[in-house]
Amino acid sequence: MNKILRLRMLPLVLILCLLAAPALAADGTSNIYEGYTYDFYHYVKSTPAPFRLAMTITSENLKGISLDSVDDICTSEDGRIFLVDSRQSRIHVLDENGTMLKTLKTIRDSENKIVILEDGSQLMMNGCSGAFYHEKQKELYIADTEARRVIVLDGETYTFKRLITKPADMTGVTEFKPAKVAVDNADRIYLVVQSSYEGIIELNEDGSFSRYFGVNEPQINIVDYLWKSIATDAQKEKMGKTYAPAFNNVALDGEGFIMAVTSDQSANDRVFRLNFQGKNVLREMGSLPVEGDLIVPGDTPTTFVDIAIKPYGTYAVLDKAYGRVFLYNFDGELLSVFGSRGNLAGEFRIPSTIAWMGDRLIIGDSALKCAYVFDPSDFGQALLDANEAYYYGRWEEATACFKHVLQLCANMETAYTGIGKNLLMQENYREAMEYFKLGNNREFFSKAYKGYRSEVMRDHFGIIAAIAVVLICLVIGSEIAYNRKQRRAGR
Amino acid sequence: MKISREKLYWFGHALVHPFDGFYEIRFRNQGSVLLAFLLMIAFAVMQCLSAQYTGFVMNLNNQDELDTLSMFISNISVLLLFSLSNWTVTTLFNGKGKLSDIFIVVCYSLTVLIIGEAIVCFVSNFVTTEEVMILNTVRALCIAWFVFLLVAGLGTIHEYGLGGNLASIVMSIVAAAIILFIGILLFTMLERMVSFFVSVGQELMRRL
Repeated sequence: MNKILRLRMLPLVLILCLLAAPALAADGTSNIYEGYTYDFYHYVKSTPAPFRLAMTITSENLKGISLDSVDDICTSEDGRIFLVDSRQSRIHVLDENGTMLKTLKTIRDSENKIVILEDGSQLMMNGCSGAFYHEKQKELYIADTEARRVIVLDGETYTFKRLITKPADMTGVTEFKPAKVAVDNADRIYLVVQSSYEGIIELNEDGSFSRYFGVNEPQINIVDYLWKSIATDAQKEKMGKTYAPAFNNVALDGEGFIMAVTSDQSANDRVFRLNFQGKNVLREMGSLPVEGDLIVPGDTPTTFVDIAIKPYGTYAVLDKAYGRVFLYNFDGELLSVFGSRGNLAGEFRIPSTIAWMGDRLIIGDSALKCAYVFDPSDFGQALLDANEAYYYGRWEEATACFKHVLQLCANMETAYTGIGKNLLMQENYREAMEYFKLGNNREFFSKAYKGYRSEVMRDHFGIIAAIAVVLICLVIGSEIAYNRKQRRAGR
Repeated sequence: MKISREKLYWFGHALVHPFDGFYEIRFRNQGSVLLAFLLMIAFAVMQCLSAQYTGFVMNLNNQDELDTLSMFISNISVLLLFSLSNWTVTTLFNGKGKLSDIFIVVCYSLTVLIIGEAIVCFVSNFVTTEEVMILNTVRALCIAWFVFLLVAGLGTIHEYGLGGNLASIVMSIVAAAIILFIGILLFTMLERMVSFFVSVGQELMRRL
């Protein structure tokens, strides 16, 4: 009997496999890039892969120049990719197809002569580990770490513009060894120094020191606090200080805010969106904090090393510990996670940097000495489009995109919420409630319910008022009757 | 078995005048174990209902994995365990209450929680997040009244002062933990013993 059953099942299983296979290939491409997300109850829910490997940039793309490390990647709006290699102290400029345009090591001026410094040496990069393309001025900023300076080049011709060295009026104990650099719309320069506990260095446009920016708060341990409060000064000396965790990387978001990440496990927050005062104003409206994974396979928690932000606030954060990329929207809701560590194409060893190029993601790996270019899948594209449309207030388009997201993946709570928000805007409260319930969003459900409740109240005002009046009459009546009875008894 | 009208009266009285009411229940035999039992069942059922039917805005339970049966059993076993551990402690420390009295006090006091939970559960279907605070206040008031009834009732039936009473309640929580520990120990030992005899039996069957 059992055998017959199994034989009968066989074709069914085969058909199912055949049906399932193209569904995977159409979007998920391969099992390496399966995505996942967390739901309201913090369960892992699988999603299709939002991105898939399109191209790998290795030293083969660089006409024989060896690529020994990829420490930072930045892109320009016209589609150029800048790869920073700190071991070779080179910056490679490629176009969007991965063809090399130029490689920079010694810096030349506009007359194509090598720039000679005051001490007579040639201006040559030395252990540069960060770069930033400043769209507004069309300038390329290079953090030349070992040489303790920032080199500014013309963005089109790559000729020398100016040099920023340690400002004379800089205070604090932080060494001037800029590892990462970012420049905001007001041309202020932000420098990250590895393991500096004083914060990000902010320089004025002319290279003079402005301030330390965005001091990071460490977590306070109650036991430590107790011990320290009763310890003598001599004991405190020996205890070791709690330093503010250092930032790892900075980037600019579409509204001109500085976003930073830290990999320090003792930090209160991992991802920062710093306002002018240096306070963290990152929106965390999702059901879990912007801290990466809740459950990890190993001992180390998620370790963020770099962040890349779209103009509409959707950002991708790179996790070094497990080679994962976390996609968050501007509200801080987790969209999807993809990527892994391993030896297959598209997997990481030590991922170091991430950047957007249009809707593509470029991720550099310093151990594999390559950069991967990822194309969004249907699912990833729908997610990006939906969040873009939603951010700019194009509600109809956003709804259509969210519906497409749901067709590809029914696990996306943010998509249900997104559709619900649009329905709420159209005052279609009843349906909005349904969607918010599916999206497990109690705050917005309550808003929709409020509208729905007042609608019902308005429509059935007569009946509700009648019931209320009858109830009030009954209460008053019984009071009067009770009083009369008491009075009669008293007499 | 029937609950007499008088016992019902003293049940109602105890909810608002716990010292008076529970005194009558303990020393003039006006308590009903049957009523207490029914209240316990009602409480467990109410807990299950509220986990499922509290409005979406207030309900953070995952409806897909709600296990009503285990919730029901765990609620009941907590009540029974507390009654038992309180009895074991108070018999050692000159408590006058019998096990049945303790059970009656615990279950009668639950009435406030049942009513409160029913109100909250029903009304929560018609509130927004701003109004949740009101319901939480109602809930907190009910819990406060429940604790008051429980403390007053236990004090009355054991003839304890406030300090001794609170100490006995803390002690009975400790006792409950010990009972649980011994219970778990017993079950694991039994399991090992059974598996030992089973394997001995298997060995015998194979060799013979």
